[in-house]
Amino acid sequence: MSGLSLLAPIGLIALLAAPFIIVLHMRHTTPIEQRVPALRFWRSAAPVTTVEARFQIPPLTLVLILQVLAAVALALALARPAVSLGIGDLMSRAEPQHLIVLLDGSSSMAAMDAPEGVSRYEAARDLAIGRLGGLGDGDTATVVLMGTRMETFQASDLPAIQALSRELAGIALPGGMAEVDAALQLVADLDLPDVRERIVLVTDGAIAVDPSIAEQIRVPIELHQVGEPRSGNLALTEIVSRPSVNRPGEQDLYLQVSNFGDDRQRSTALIVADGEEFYRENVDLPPRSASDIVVLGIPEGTRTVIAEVRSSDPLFADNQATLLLQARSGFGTRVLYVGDTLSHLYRALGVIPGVSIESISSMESLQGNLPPGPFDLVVYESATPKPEDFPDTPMLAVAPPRDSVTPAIGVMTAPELARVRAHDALLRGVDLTGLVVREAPVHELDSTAVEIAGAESGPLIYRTQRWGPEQPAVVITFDLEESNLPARVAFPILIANAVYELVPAPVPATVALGSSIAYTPQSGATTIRIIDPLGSTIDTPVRSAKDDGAFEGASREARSVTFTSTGSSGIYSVQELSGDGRVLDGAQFVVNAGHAEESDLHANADLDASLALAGSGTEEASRSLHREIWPLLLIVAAVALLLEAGWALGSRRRPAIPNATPMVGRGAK
Amino acid sequence: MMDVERALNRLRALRQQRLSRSRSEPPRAESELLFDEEMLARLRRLVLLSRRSVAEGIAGEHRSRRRGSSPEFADFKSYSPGDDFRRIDWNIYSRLDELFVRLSEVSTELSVHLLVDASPSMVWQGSVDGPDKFVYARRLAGSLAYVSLWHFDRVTIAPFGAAVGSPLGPMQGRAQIHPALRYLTMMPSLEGTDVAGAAARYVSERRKAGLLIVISDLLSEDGATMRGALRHARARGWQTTIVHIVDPAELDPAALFQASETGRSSIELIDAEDGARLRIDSTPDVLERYRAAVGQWKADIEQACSEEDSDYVEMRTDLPFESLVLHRLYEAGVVA
Repeated sequence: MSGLSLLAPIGLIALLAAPFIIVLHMRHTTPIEQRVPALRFWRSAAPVTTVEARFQIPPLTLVLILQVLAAVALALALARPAVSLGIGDLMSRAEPQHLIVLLDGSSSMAAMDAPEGVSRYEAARDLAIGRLGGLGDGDTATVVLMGTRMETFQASDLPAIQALSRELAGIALPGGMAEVDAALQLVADLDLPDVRERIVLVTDGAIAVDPSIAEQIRVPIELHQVGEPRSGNLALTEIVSRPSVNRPGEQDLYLQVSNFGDDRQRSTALIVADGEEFYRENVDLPPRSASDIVVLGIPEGTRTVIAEVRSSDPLFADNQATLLLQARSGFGTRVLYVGDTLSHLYRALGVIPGVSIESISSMESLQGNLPPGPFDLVVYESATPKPEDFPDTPMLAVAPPRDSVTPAIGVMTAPELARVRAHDALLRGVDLTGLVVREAPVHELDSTAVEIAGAESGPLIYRTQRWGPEQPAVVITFDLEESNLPARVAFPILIANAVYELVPAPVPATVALGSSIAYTPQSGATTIRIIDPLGSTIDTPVRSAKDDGAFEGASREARSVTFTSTGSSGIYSVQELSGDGRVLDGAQFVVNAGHAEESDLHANADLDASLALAGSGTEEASRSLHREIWPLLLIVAAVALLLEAGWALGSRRRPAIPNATPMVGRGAK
Repeated sequence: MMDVERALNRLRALRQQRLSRSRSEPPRAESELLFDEEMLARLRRLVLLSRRSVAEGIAGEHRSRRRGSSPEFADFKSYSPGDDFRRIDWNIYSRLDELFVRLSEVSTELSVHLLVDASPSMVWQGSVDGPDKFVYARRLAGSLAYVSLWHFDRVTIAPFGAAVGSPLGPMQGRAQIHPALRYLTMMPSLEGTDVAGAAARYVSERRKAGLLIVISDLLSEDGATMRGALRHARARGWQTTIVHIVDPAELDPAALFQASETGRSSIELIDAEDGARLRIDSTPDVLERYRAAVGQWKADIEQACSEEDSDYVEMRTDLPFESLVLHRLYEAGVVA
C-alpha cells in the first residue's frame, strides 16, 4: 500500500483473532449433535432437511461484523501503522517534500520477466514516473539513474518535474552495473532545508548495498522491487582466445557457460566463425553452476567469432558473446625515431608489440624534414631539435646533446648507480644493479623532473614535463652505446616501460558490459567517434592544453577520453578524427553482456535488511515522515465493541422458547 | 441335631461361594442400585397373576382355573363319559340320583418368560436424574423375576436385540433369585432391534406356552408388526404382556429446542441404533409434528395389544420405581 507503513509489523500477528472469531461463529452455526433413541418420528416431523455440511460459513450478522472489525482494528493498532506520502498528502500537505528516486539501470534490468511482458527496467521506469506524478507544487525531485555511469536528473518545480517525467520516459536502459553504494552516498549528501525527504529505490533486487552506507542515510529507504526475484538465466560469462600451441596461426577458443537458475538447464552452444557455423556442443548444467567449453583450431585469418547458447530465459542479451580475433587494437603506436637506425635502442623499440617505427637522421630532423604525422612518440638518440621545434608529442631522449634538453652543469665520469626510485613504473621488472656507464652529463633538474635512477653527482634516468603536461619526456642522460645497459636483460624492458608510459593506452579488444574505457587518443586526434552496436554515434572532443589553460601543470591524463556508454552488448567501432574531420585511425572493441553478477537475476535476499538500516537512528526524521494512526484504530475498535455489547444486551432481553428444559441426556453432546 | 448341622454346613458353603465370587467378579454396585432390600420385601408380598392357567407341572403356588384331582375340593360337574369314576360323588348320587364328578383345584406352576430389550436405543436417558431405559428395564425384569421365583414359578430371562441372546433358565425356586439378578446386572447391550421378530422366534422355539413379558421401548415396531407378533404368540397359547419403557424426553423433547437460545439454528440428531444423522431446524412446528407422530404410534401399539388380548403397560422411567412401578403393575394386573 503506497504511503502506509507499519512501524511494528509483528503486531499483525493479532490479526489471527479475526479468523478465531469467525470460527467461534461457525461453532454457533454448527448444529448441536443430539443422540436420540430413534429418528423415525423426527423424519416424519421434519422430512425436509436443510444444509448437510457440518461446518458452514457463519451468517454475516452485525455481531460478527463488529467483532471482526474490532479485532482487525486492534491488530492494526498494535502494528503501529503510519501514513505518509499518499494518505498523508490527503490529510495535509503543509510541508514540501524532496523525492529522490534511485532507478536501477543495470544490465540485469533488461530481463523480460516483469508483468505485462515488459522488461524490468521499463517497469521500474514507469514506477518512477508514477512516483514523480504524485508530486505537487513546492516539491522537488531527484532521479538517480544507476548504470554504466550514474546520471542525476533534478527538478525543482512542478513543470520541471513533469518535464523530467517525460525525459525519463525516453531514457533507454544504460546497462552495466548499478553503483548503489555510490548513489546512496550521493543521496546522503543531498540535504535540502525545510523539506521532507523521501528516498525510493526501484530495482530488481539483484544488487548489494553496503549496510554501513545505508546507515548514513537519514530517512528510511522505500524499496520497490520489480521482476521475478527467482528468475533463472543461462549466460555466456567468458569468451577468450589464445594462439594454438600445436597449430601455428590458429586460435584456441575458451567459453564459459553459466546457469544462474535453480533448475537444471540443457542447451546447445554454437560457435560461428566469420558467419559460418564452426562448432556445436550440447551443455547440461546443474543449478547454479558453470561449464567450460574449449574449441580448438579456429582457422588463421578468422576475424570474428560469435558464440551463442540457445535458451529462452528472460535475459537473452547474455546468451551471445563476440570475440574479435584480428582487432585487438586498431591503434598502433606510431614512433618517430631520430638517430642511428643500427643502435640498440632502435632494435629495442622495434620488438615492442604494436609499435611501428619511422626513422630519420638527426640531420633531417634539424632540417625539419619530418615524415607526415602525427606520431605518438618521438625518440631522440644523441639528437634533439631546437627548443622551438619540440614536437607536440611525448618524447624519449637518450644521450641528448649538452644543454639541448636540460641544462648540464658538468660531466660524471664512470658514474656509479647511487639512487633508484623504488616501485616506479619505469623500473617495473628492471634491475639496474651492475650498470656501468662510461660518462654522463650532470643535468640540472627543474621542479617538474623526477629522478628515476641517479649517480652521486646527478641523474642518469629521469622523467620531466619541462615542455608541459602534453609533452612528457623520459630522459636517459648517458650514451647507451658507451654503457653495458643494452647488453642487459633489463634494457628492452626499460624501453618498453618508457613507451607504455609515454604513448596513449590502446583500445582493449573486449570490455565488460557497463565498464568504462579510458584512453588517450593520438596526438593529432581532436574528436573520438564511437559507433555502438545499435548504430548510434557518439562524438567526444579531445581537449588539449591549447584549448584550456586549466590543463597547465596537470598530467597528460587530461587528454584522456573516457567512454562509459557500454551498456549494450555487441561490437563498438572507434574512430579518431582530426580537426578537419579526417579519420586518422579506427578500431573495434566488443562488449559482451554475459557477466558473473549482472547475469544472475536472483534478488538479493539481504537487500531489505541492509536498506532497513537507513533512517534507523533518526526516529525524529521517521516521525516527521510518518503520521501514526493507531489512536484512530483504537477508537474504531472501542466503538465496535460498544455496539456489539449493546446488541448483545438487547438480544438477551428477548423471550426464550417456553417449556424448554435443559437436555442433559447421556446422548447429548 | 443332624438338621442343624446340615443347615450350618450349607450356610458355610454359601458363604464360601459368595467370597470366591466377590474376588472374581467386579463390584456389583449396579445390582445394588437395581434392587434394595426394601423393594424386595415389598415384592415378596406380590404374586404374579395369570388370567389364564396355561401349564401344569409340579407344585406351583398359583391357583389354577383348571380343575384337577387334588384332595382340595373346588366344585362339581355333571358326569360325562371319560371322567374318572373315582371322582364320582356317590353321596350326591344317592340324594339326587344323578352322577356328579367331584372337582378339586389343581396347584399349577407358571412359566414366566421375560424378554428384555437390550438394543442400543434402550441405552439412552433424557435426564441425568433418572436411569436410562435399559437399567429401568432390567430393574423391572428383576422385580418380576424375583416375585415369580419367590412363588416357585419357572422363570426364563432372555435379552434381545436384532435376535434373542443367550437366555438364563428356565429356573425355579428362591435360590435362583440371586443368579437371576446377577444375570440381569451383567446383561450386555446387543446390536440392532427387532421386537416383533425376536418375540415371534422366541415363542416358536418353545414347546410349552407360558406368560411372555416383553420389556422394550418398542421403537422398532409399529401397530401392524406388533399385532402380527402378538397374534403369532396367541395362536400358540401364549399369554403376552407388553411393558413399554418410555423416557419422558421421548414423548416431549422440548429441551432439544433450547439450542436455539444459544444462537444455533439447527440440531443434528444421531440415531442411537445405527448412527444415522438427521439435521432438523429448531422450529415449534417440528416439535408439534413429532409429538403427534409419537402419540399416534403409541395409540397404534396399544390398539394392537388390545386386539390381540395382550396386556399393555406403559412405564415411564421418571416414575419412582419402588412405589409407583409396582402399583402400576398391580393396576395392570401383571402382579397381584
